[in-house]
Amino acid sequence: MPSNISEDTKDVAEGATKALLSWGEDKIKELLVKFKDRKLVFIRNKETIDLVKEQLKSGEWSLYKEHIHNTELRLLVQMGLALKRLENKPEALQNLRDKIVGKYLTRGLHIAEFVQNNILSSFIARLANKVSSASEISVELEEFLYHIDKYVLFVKKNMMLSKEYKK
Amino acid sequence: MVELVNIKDLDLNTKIALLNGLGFSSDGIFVLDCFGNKVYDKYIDQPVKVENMLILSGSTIIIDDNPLSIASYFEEFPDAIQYF
Repeated sequence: MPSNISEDTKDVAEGATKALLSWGEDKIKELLVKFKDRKLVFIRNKETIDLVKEQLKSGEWSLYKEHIHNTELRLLVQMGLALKRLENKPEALQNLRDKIVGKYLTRGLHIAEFVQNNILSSFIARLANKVSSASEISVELEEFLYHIDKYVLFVKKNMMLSKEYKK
Repeated sequence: MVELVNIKDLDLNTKIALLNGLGFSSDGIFVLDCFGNKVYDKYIDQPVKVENMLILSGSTIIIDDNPLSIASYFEEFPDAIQYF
């Protein structure tokens, strides 16, 4: 290999390495002092934080949070909203689905999918017509979500249903 | 006001130096505690990779960068959301 090409290759390699930032000892110490004083946090991707924040500000969440008080269910409903926002990002979508199943099993994913597919809002509207108080909506709704697999049949997209299920 | 410092583009050594300063370490892939055990994201029960970590205040909470962990953190520390 000619020597000038070799040098070029070396420069490119160094450039690629330098693309990652490196902080000196003083800078790290300074940041750690601020962190310990609770004046700073270390984040990785503002997009992920913004995704969570935006869903907490959404009209849908304003409706759901009034009726869902259990922490686990609140998180799963929020994850349903997140799944909806990630629908055009297949890798991030699958990653989140895996995280939900890892922590809350298939039942948890089903609750999130129920929200992702806009069924929860219709369900609350129907429930509101049937019950006499807001607290009753909460009780019925949480009971339903806890036992979602008892009431809802989840099928994969494009899955052929047997005649019996179609009935 | 809390400052948000993005560590996504830091090199591995700098990330490990940060962890060391907080009493943690790394095997080059995972975050380890002071005993050399993997640190688990308490919200998803999975070990945290240095590449994907967030370091949040509240007794130094190290979690994975994903919506479930971040939403869980905000559920536990609702006041923290104003800083992000």
